[in-house]
Amino acid sequence: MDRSELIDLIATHLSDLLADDPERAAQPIVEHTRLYGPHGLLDSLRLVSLVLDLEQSVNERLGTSITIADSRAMSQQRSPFRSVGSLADYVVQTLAG
Amino acid sequence: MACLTWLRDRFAEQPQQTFMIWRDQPYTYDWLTSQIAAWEARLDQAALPPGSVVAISGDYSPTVVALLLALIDRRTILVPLTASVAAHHEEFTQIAEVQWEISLDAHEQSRLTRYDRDVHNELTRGLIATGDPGLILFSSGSTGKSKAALHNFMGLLEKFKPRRHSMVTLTFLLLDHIGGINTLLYVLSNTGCIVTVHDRNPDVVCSAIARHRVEVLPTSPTFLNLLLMSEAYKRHDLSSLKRITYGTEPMPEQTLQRLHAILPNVELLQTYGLSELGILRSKSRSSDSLWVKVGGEGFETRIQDGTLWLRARSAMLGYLNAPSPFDTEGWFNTGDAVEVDGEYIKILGRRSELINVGGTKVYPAEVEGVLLQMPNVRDVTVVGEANPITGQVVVARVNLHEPEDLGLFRRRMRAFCRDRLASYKIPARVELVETAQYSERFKKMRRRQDPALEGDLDGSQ
Repeated sequence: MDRSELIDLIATHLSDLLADDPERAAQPIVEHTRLYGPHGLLDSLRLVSLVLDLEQSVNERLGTSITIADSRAMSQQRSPFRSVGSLADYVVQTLAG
Repeated sequence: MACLTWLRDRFAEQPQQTFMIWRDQPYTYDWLTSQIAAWEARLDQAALPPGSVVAISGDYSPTVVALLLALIDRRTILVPLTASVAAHHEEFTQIAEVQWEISLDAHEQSRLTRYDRDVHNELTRGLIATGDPGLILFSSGSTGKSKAALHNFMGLLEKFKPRRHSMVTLTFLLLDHIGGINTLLYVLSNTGCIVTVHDRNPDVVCSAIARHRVEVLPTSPTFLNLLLMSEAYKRHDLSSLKRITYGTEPMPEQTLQRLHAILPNVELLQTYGLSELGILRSKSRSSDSLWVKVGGEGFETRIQDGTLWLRARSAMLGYLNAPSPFDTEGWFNTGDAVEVDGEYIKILGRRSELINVGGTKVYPAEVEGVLLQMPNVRDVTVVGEANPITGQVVVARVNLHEPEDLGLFRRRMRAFCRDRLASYKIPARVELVETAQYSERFKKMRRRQDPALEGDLDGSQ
């Protein structure tokens, strides 16, 4: 699964999660879309849901058992949960082992 | 002196009354009296002495009940074992230091085995020295390793001496469970009738209620949920039913409301008990209320930091394989979180099962209650899972009626929960599962399943 496929997948899950929030859902989701933090689309609960949804569908498609939200993710110098792009990068990196 | 004289005198007053319906056949109190005598002769012949630790294994049958009474009267220490714990047979007989085992097969043929073993446990030895009969019950293990609770049987029997009204009672809690023992002693001490079923499928249970005009059904919220889903109540005449009692786990509010709407003339009563302390007397505020008053003669209650503490005259002597759970004044922390309203309490769930999402508390029962109302949801178990972002997250394991795509289900679930649950209570992760999520005792399994102790129920669907 390459980076652009991951960005698409994140975008799908993100729009699912924002289904009850038409204002936010109306914004186009691109690589630079902010997730968590300043100007982020998500609160911590939704961030957790996004990460778990993504984890579940990546593992289902690839037959892997990666964990995205773990202590390694939390201890990165720059949070992988800043933006759609940074999350995709982090997943690519995790998949590469 | 025999310790069950009072009980046997009551049997003698009602010789023709049916005490049990087993495999659809009635057995009378007269029959029971003669079977107890037959067992006494057999135990004499085997020279089984008072104070022995005796395991009984077999189906819940009239013969087993007669044996149980003969062994209490003989002042032995009883260890009831059932087929559901077969995988733990060796472990349990060692912990209890079983010296004799009497097993009955499917044809009621008994086999008596003697083990070459002395009793070393100080608690058991202390009880034997008093000359009183005892009872050893193993916890189901739903909250960890099985613990063996040793009771003085005289203490458990005491509360059954005052006569009360007795009704035809269907039971599926077995004799290795404090609730099963409690139901049996209640019915026998009031010369009532017990109806047993070979299978706990809702249709089998409802059909037995109709055929034997059952008046009381002691059960668990999990079974009642299965009853509602199966709609078995539509296929059988349940007009004889006067009371349903539910306990052993928190009742989802919605399940109670639906049940009350479907069976408006049946009194719905919450019960509360623990294998360590026995069963308390209880009174629900009303049939559609989860508020309940618990206590009664011989029990004291106290709420400390939102947790229920109990002190009971009929409390166990202690665990055989764990430190005493009682404080110096004899109080026991039930581990159940409760809300209080005057004399009434509402049981929220086990404190150990409480999910902490970013510092806010979530009780699994509340979330389960909401998810159970969703179309296409057959059953659901809610648990907490560690998560580095919010500490824990809410995870729902869901059984569906018809297969559904996980993504679609998740979207539907979030939409459904939006107006019904605070956002932190909405499951962050959903797993669709196919195996049944409740134990032999019809209790939800929130831990990963231990197939040996809490296997799936065969043919229960």
